[in-house]
Parts: sequence; C-alpha cells; structure tokens
Amino acid sequence: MNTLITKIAAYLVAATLMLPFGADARWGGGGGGGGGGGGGWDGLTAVRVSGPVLVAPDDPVWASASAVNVTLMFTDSVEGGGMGGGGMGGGGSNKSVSVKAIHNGTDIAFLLSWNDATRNDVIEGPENFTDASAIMLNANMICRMGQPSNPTNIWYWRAVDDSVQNLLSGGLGTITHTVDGNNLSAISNWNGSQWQVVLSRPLAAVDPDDQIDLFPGGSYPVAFATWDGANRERNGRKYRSGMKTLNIQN
Amino acid sequence: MAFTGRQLAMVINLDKCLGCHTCTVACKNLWTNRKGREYMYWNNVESKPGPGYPRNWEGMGGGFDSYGNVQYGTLPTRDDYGRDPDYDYQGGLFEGGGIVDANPQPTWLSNWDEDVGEGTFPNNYYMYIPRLCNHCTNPACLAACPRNAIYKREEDGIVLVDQDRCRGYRYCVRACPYKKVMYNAFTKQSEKCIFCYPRIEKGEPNACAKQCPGRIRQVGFLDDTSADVYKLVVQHQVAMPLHPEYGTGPNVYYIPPFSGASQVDEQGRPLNVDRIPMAFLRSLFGDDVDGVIATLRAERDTVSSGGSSEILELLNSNNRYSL
Repeated sequence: MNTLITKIAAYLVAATLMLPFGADARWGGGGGGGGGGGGGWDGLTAVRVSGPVLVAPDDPVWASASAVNVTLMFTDSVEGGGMGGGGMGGGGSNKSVSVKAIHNGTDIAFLLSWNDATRNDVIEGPENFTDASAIMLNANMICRMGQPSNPTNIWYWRAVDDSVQNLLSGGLGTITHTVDGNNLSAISNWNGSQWQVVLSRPLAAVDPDDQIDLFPGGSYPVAFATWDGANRERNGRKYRSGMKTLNIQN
Repeated sequence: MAFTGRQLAMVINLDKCLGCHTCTVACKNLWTNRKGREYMYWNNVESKPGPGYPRNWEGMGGGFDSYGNVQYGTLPTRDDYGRDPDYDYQGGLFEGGGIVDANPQPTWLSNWDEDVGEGTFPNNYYMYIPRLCNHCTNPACLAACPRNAIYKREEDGIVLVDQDRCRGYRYCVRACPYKKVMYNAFTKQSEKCIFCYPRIEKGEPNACAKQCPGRIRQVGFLDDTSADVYKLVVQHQVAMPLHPEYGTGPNVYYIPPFSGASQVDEQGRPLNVDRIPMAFLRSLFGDDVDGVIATLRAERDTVSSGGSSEILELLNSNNRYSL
C-alpha cells in the first residue's frame, strides 16, 4: 500500500473536517463571533454598470464607481509584530488600498490600487517573494482567518504568475486552494509606484461549497490584504484591513 | 508532541568516504533532475572544514532554543547554493567559436571548495561529509510550518513535505539548521530528501546508500536489534549525529574519521598528532567524539594484534540494510 497516498488522504479528510462545506453549509452560518466592524460609513458599493467588468484599470467604466480608501495594518502571525504599523520592517506606518467595485448583473469586479515602489513578480531563488493582494469574502475572525464553522472565501492574486486562486480558510493554517473555484480572472498593471489589479468573477458561484454566491442587492462582510515581496511578506506576514461591508447594487 | 513511531536511520562511515559523489549523482538522477531543482542536491558531499552547501549553512541558525522554541534562521539565497552557468555548445563547437566557456563565469557552486580544507602543507587537512535530510525525531521544519504541510510518518519516521499543502512560505527552509529543505522557484513550493520512501517501501535501500562504491552507508530501524544500524548507534554508540546542539534529534549518524594520518614534521616524520584536530571534530559532533574515536581505535588495535572486533566487522558488513 502506498503509505504516502494514505497520509495525504488523511490530510484531506482533516482539511474537510476543518472546512465543513456540506450541501447544507451556509455561508455566514454558525458565525456570529468576529462580526462588528463594517458599519455603513465604510461600506463599499459595487456599482451596477452595463457591459463587461473584467476591464483594464484605466478603463473609463471605473469612473462610475467611487473609490474607498481602506486602511491596512501590518501583522505577522508567525514571527510576531505588527497590528497598527510599527512592526518588523513594515515601514513603521499603516498602508492603505484604494478599492472600487462594479458589476453587470452577471460578473463582479474589484479594482485594488496600492502603493508599492518595488515590483516583485519574478522568483528565481529562495530569497524572492511575490507581491500579492487578496479579497476576503464572508470575512469573519480576520485575525484567525475565519472559523471552522464559518469559513472565509478568499481571492488571492499574486504578481509572480498574475494568477488568482480561490481559497477557503476556516482558521489559521487551513487555507485550501480549491481548483473547482477557478473562475477568477485578473488584469494587473504596475505603473512604477503602484499596483493596480482588477479581480473578477461571476456573481454566481461555480460551486457553492467552494466559493460564496453573490447577489445584486446583497451585503457581504469583506476584508483586504496586500503583501510586499520586497519585505518578504507572505502568509500571515502582510498588511490587512479590518472588516468592511460590500454592498452590491440592485 | 513527541514522536512515538518507528524510526529508520542511516549510518555513514566517514572514515571510508572517498568524496566520489556517486551518492549525490544517484540522488540527482533519481529525484532532482526536474525543472526548478537544478540547484538542488538533496544529498551532497562537502569538504570540511569549509563553507559547504548552501554556502555557510552552519552560520544560518535554525533548530530549537533551550526552551524548545523553534528558531527561524537565515534564508539562504540562490547564490548561496550556486548558479549553474550556461554553456554555448552550439557556438563553440559547431559555429567556429572554438571555445565553450561558462557564461556567466561561476564564482560559487556546490562543492566549489572541494578539498580546500584548512591548515598549511604538509599538515593541511580536510574530510568529506555526505549530507542529506536527517529525518529528525523533532524536525524544526515541521515545527516551523504554519500550515501543517510537513509530517513525519509513524511507520518509519520519514519526514515529508506534502506538496498539496505547501504554499512556499519557506519558514521550513529557515528553521532547518542543516538547510536541507529547499525552495523550488518553478513550483513555488518547498521540497526535500524523501529518504527514497518508494524504494524503502519495496525493501530497497536509498539510492545514495545502494550506489555508494565504498559501501559506507547502512540503513535500518533503530528498534531492530538485528540491524547494523541498531548495533552501531544504540548498542555500541560509535555513530554520532551531526550538530546535535540544534536539538532536532537527527537520524543520520556518522562514524567519525578515526584512522587518518598523523601530522608530520618538516622531514615528513610522524608527530603522533591527529592531522584532523579533535577540536574540529568536536565542533561537528560534540564532545563525545573523543570517546568514540578512542573506542574505534582500540577496536582497530585489537584487530591488528590478532583479535576480533564486532564493531569493525559491522563497519565492513555485507548485510548493511535491514528494511
């Protein structure tokens, strides 16, 4: 018997137990803890537009949405430090990411813009780390990356291959890349001082066990994060926001 | 959580290592000849004293502190492992160039410092030390992974990186004091020696052990009282882990070099002084190495005066694998 396969199977079972997406799973169900934040004043509205939404960051359609400036705090869940700036090599101050959102009734797109003076999108050795950003949907217990009973659904974009991964996370260390959820697309641009990244997905989940269904008229807890490869940021070493509210226009 | 399973171990007799790198080539051809692994040598042979592979790995930290807290050491760079140069064979051989030269000219590679060692002629010295993942009883790589992507098998103690879980954060690379977890820039995940587990599961010894022309490697379970490995490590205690001070409990054990030549005077006459200084061996294996070498030399003396020695017979065993 191939014991490695047995071991991997055991891990997959364990991961499944940590992320209980049965047919009866409810996004946001069983949560409660970690709510708060997200008042209306910092809400982000996904404006309804006509035509395609997976468009370049400089497309005129983005003018129809107003940008929300989201404060990001440095955190390092592995080696410590962070929360509120300071931190290890974090530059000593908070950062921010400017976020816009649009949808056309079928697809939704976010435009994330954040300052980054160094473009880190090549990995040729162990010392290279990629720039990256992420949107956490069904955000809850952000500092714990969600809960086993209430997983979060993350769109993770990385510069190194300009790809977006659909991730599930139900607690620290449980991030799982679900191949089934690969209906995410990105258009990115680095303009010399800033990353501008458009992330898009159909509103309807390709599989509701793998990603959250989104509907016009709905409100969703959301959070954002960026990683600066030049600062060796990855994993829990990153800049992240608190809880915000995403309102999808009817 | 202490490891409670069975543990496979390897004994490597440094007294007989020729530095031929057949083990390295066997491993390279079997496991690291794929994209992203060009710089990787899960098994390498390095000359000591010397910077080794990756360069100056012994100064990069890792392991555990005295309280059992995992230590995140330095992350080696691509240059520390060495960059393989490109060669223009087409231009040099077929288009009249006449010269096939490396481009760029390498300044450091694995084994770049072969046979350099230390000291001054005629008393300069070096030794070879083959290195692979130690499949530690208390692996720092496993402790450092924030994702539980590294696991240690109960049935044989082999430590593996689950490629379905690894997201390439490289905390394991930093925490391994032996720098035997390596980052694959192509797959963007970390990987390491797998102790040839597909071979082990079929009763075949590791490729590095099987291919060794000097037959200096023995493999077996530490709880198998019939195994050479058990007798050398547990019963006679003449095989020693490398750098035990890191607190990881390595399971590759070394017979320290004990039959090297003496230092000589200007006329070449032996001075009856160890050519490889004991202080240097202590820096590798700890203070117990003095006693181990004394034991090994006493056994050798017994044999050379007509007696018999189980230890020396074990070191020339034809039954090196108990799997």
